[in-house]
Amino acid sequence: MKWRGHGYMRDYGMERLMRDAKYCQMYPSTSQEALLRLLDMSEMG
Amino acid sequence: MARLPEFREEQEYRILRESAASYAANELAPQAEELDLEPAAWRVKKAISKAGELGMLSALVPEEKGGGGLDDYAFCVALEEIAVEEAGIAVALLAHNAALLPSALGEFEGLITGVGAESYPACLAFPGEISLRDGKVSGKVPFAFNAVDCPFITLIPTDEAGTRAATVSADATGVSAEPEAYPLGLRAACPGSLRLEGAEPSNLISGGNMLEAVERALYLGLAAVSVGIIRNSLRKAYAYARERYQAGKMIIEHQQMRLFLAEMLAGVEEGRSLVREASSSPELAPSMIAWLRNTARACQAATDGVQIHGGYGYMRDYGMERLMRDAKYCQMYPSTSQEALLRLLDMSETG
Amino acid sequence: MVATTLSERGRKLLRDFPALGALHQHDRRGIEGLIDLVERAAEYNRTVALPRALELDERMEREPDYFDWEMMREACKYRFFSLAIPEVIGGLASKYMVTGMALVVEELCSACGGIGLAIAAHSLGVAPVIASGAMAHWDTVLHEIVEEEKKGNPVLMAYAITEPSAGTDVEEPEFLEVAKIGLEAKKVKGGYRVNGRKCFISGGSEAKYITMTAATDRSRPLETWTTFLVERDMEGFSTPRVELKMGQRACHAAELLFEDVFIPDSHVLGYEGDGIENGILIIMAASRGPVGAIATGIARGAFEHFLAWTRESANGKRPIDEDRIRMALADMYAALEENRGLYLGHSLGGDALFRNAFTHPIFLSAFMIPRRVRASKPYASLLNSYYGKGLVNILFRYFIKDDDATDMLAKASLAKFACADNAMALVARALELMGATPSPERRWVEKAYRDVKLTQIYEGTNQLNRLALFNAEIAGTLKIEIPGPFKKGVR
Ligand SMILES: Cc1cc2nc3c(=O)[nH]c(=O)nc-3n(C[C@H](O)[C@H](O)[C@H](O)COP(=O)(O)OP(=O)(O)OC[C@H]3O[C@@H](n4cnc5c(N)ncnc54)[C@H](O)[C@@H]3O)c2cc1C
Repeated sequence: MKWRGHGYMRDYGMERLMRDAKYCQMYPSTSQEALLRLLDMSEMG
Repeated sequence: MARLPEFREEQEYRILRESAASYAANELAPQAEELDLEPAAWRVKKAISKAGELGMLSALVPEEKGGGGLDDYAFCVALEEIAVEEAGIAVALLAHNAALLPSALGEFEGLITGVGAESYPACLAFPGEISLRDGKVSGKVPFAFNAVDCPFITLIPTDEAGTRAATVSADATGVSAEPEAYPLGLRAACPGSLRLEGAEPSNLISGGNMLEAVERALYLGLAAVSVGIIRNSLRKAYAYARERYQAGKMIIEHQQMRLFLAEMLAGVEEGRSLVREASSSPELAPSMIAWLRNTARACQAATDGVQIHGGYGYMRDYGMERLMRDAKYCQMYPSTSQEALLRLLDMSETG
Repeated sequence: MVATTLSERGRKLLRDFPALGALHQHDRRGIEGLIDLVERAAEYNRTVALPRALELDERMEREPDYFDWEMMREACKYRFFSLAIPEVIGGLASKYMVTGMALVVEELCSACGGIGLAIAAHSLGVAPVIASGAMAHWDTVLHEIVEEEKKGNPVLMAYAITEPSAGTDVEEPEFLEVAKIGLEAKKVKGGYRVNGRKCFISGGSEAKYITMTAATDRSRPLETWTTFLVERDMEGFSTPRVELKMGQRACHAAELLFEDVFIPDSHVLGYEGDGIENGILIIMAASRGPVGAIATGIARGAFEHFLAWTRESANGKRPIDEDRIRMALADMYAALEENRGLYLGHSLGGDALFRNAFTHPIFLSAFMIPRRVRASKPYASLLNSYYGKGLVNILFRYFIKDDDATDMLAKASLAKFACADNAMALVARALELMGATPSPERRWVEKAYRDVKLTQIYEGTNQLNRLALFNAEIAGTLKIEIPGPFKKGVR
């Protein structure tokens, strides 16, 4: 998004990175679910 | 206590971890509050003297030069364990060892005096504007640790491209030190400012890039100290969350408390990995990155730790608010985070 | 737009709060009353708060028991202890009581969060005497505060709800129901016998009068929660210790100890059993906005010191000349504006609610009776009687409807946690950007860092305030239902 208005346009490929990155954050679980599970696991072991 | 995922480490580091942890638990934990409230020089010296057995009084000086001969990662392991009990002492040790670093790396010009494991904690006068002219050092150092009541001060003249270092006896003429009027945290590490006016160095040391070596040690060391602070926050907050009941259940059963704790847990893991990575790289950048991330994490962890304790967290007796203050100072030295970020990009551009 | 006859501070205030600027065109006198209050607070800052803030803060780390009575005596000159006391008994609470409180508190806390709290905690203590309509105590206790203040003697109040085992639990009915309560006010002939402890009470060790909520039956805290007026010299009452706090130190957080303290029936504020609504929720609905103002004030102080730092030059370079610092200043400014919008929105709404009751002719006519009579014992027992309380209650409840009160609680809770979080982030960022540079400004910002953390904790933790917003506004499961008139005894 650093290239001013250009970041918004498709041909620079920046906006695609934004969309892709967001999906990476949402799968295979939400970040909160992962955090909660982390603590659960630490308590069981 | 919540069990941390196993962190893979060689046997030698594990052993060091254990002995550093027991030093911290025996020598520091019982007086952690005093070290913050009344960090008198004798108290700090006494606490630090025992760290000698860990090799922490000359950790980075090779064994053949009579030092502790720890590698960078071992040094970080010990700092982390010590910071779990008292971050101020950990930083005092870090500054002391960073002050010895030039003498470990460089060639002495003349006789080395006053630079020994027993003269602690030494002050590393950094960062500052220091000049070396006609064999005398002058300049101002706005903020440094172990600034007062130290045996000697190590300086890196800025006009020498960082290839030379000088040590000056703290009682040499022309040296004046001023303790920080009311430091927020890390009080055992005695923050203060220094002024040198034509002081005569006791040693001149020349060698490679001293400046960068010293900076790297500070960033890396503070990154390790920050992991210790996150661990302490996690330990305290976890224990408290299991003993405090509100709404008829342990507060650890409230999801928001669990999220806070899980963030700390993740922070310890992430922090350790960054430190491990950075300590195996001779470059400055990885240490800066570790410092950037870990100090931010530590500030958040300590703040959340206070929140988990509710009103009790705000009171000195619970030892939680101290972590918030200590963590913040780790983030404010040796540069600001934005300065470090900008420099990272600069360094990446110059190749 | 802004009238030119106003002082510079006044014009600045109307610029900082465009809503007040707009209101000024409709209600000159009312808004200029607010400007006057803020000017007084600014003057107090200049002459009293700023010169002692740093030293006092440091001293109270070493001597936690010390209390600076001088700053409180000075505050009398500015009449800060009458801010929540209605005009009919000589106080300053105009139709903009909550707003005035919030604005003064922001101003004071911009100099020192601790001194601001010491002054604000008193009004918090006064609030239940007003909101419960316990008019029997208006012409005695509140009148005494006003009269002594004029003579320069601070007569202080405090508000005590937190117990060692119940903090969050006393601020939300659902939790209070299952809370483990330690303090009990057992009904005995002619009054109550109180045993137990309250903790963290701001100003509790200096207060002459304390409004306290407590269970009359520990096993049923929600149903028996009741508001009492405690007097410092009641036998068996003491304040054995004060805490060593991280910040806001100028104001003590005290432990209150009750050992067989007898509180007479006349000192029940409102009805027995209506403590959660009348003693807590309605108070929180009014006070959480001003706590947002405390956070905003501390952050503003930090902002001002940070700004001064950015203009200092180090080696011929000024931070403010750097792009990134300008961006940060803009962010911080935005956060302050956002906070002001939030707490002002809440406090104007609150005033709209209370104003009708306090300016109604029926209400005012009660004060046509000579004060001599009003302060007399028989009149007090009339007001304290079953029918007396009922009549006042009818009047109040006519104006303060349950839905409005609930809405106000939601807005107040929102203002509280959002302002506190914004303020915390602002101060933390300022320090992060300053780094360890030597500057007298840094010490102020470090103090603000310690001070501001408290705003995420007291008046309900920010978690509890989020829950209150969710329950009252989003889910609609929390409803303030103020007990109607002629309701007596435990529900
Ligand atoms: C300096 C200071 C001044 C104060 N002044 C006063 C005063 O004048 N009068 C007064 O009455 N009180 C006062 N208080 C008390 C203050 O209001 C309480 O500290 C606050 O309500 C939190 O209660 P606690 O400390 O018992 O924390 P707890 O209630 O024990 O909370 C601990 C943690 O658990 C979380 N938690 C608890 N229950 C839940 C839940 N159900 N769901 C999710 N999370 C939960 C909290 O958010 C918090 O993070 C003061 C406190 C301080 C520190």
